[in-house]
Amino acid sequence: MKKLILSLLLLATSAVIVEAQDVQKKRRDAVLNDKKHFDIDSYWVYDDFEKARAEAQKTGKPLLVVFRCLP
Amino acid sequence: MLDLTLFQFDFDLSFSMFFMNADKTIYGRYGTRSSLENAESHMSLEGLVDALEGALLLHEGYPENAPFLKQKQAAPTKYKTPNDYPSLRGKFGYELDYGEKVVQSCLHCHQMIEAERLVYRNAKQPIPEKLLYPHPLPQTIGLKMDIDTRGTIKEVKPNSEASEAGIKPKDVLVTLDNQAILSVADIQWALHNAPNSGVISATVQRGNNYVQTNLRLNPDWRNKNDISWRVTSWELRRMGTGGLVFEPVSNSEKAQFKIASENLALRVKYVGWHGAHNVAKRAGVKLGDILVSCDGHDEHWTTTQLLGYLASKHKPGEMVPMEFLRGGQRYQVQIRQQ
Repeated sequence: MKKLILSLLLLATSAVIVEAQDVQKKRRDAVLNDKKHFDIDSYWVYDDFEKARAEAQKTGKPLLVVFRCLP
Repeated sequence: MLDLTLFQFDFDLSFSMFFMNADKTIYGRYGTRSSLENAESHMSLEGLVDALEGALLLHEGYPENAPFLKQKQAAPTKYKTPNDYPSLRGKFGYELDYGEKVVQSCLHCHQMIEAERLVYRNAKQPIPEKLLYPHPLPQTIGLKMDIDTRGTIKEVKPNSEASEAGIKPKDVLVTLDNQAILSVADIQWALHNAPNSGVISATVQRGNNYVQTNLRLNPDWRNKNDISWRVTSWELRRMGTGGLVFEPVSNSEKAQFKIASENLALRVKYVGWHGAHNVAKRAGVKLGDILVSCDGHDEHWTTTQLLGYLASKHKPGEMVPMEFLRGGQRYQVQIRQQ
């Protein structure tokens, strides 16, 4: 009986670890795909405030700075 | 790494915008949240468009309008980057690692609120009210805004700070504390930096007229700002309640339990069970128990008021008596403050 409980506990722990790794992977992919998307998008400046500021100075336009936390 | 001498916003948010000049002057902010479930209840595309149009007007009028922007700029801070907080020092790099470990290299914004509270907590000093109840929503002073506009007031709560200042529904909030208002986030920024008690000015447009008024902020006005939904409240729960999450008990339920409607009743809906979050569990508190007294107080409190009281009135290591109701019987425990 003790062995059965231990096995079930190990199984449950393994399932939790696998799920956590899965969440980590999804978040990593979301961030990297997001960066990839914006790297080829000339409309937005990604993660480079000074570059955006230089562009705003050159054009005389205001800046829209967006902070996002990807899920 | 985030420049905290420039970018200060509600760090419990997962989305925030700044409208700025290239010289780093901030015209306004956009992005508001008040619950975990309904993240977008204070935002709309129409509201964002209106705020952006307002930002363009401010850009056209800059720098002549600089006096109305002065207080929208970041407040003085001794922490120039998140890495400067003692509890975060050395935990994150100054740049994101866009490789396999990109998620781990990214500091969560809410960690900055927690880190700043810890500065006070670890020094055994009360956490300042501004830091306990950050970025108060307009409803804290009795305003419900039309989220499709930059500042139109939809409702004014009777007997609130706003109603006592003579503000009316359909008024357009143009300035608050001498700051041009473009969004709910701008109202929150003005309130965040308002005094704990005192007076702040407001200008509303009513038809074709502009009306100047003053809002009187009475002591404790900040604790009407609900913080229970915030991620950062997990840490306050650890510090004060030993890991308990509460939900309100309705007046009809209170009557069943013979608790007067004006008295405290908060039901335990989650009991922390590991690490430093299991203090209440180890003291014997269980799911479904009802908190009826805390430190001798049995007046009606919200979760926000309970967390705020514990964080501001008690230091780590102190024991706080709490009384709970379970199966019709009252029992008392001592909860060690952390």
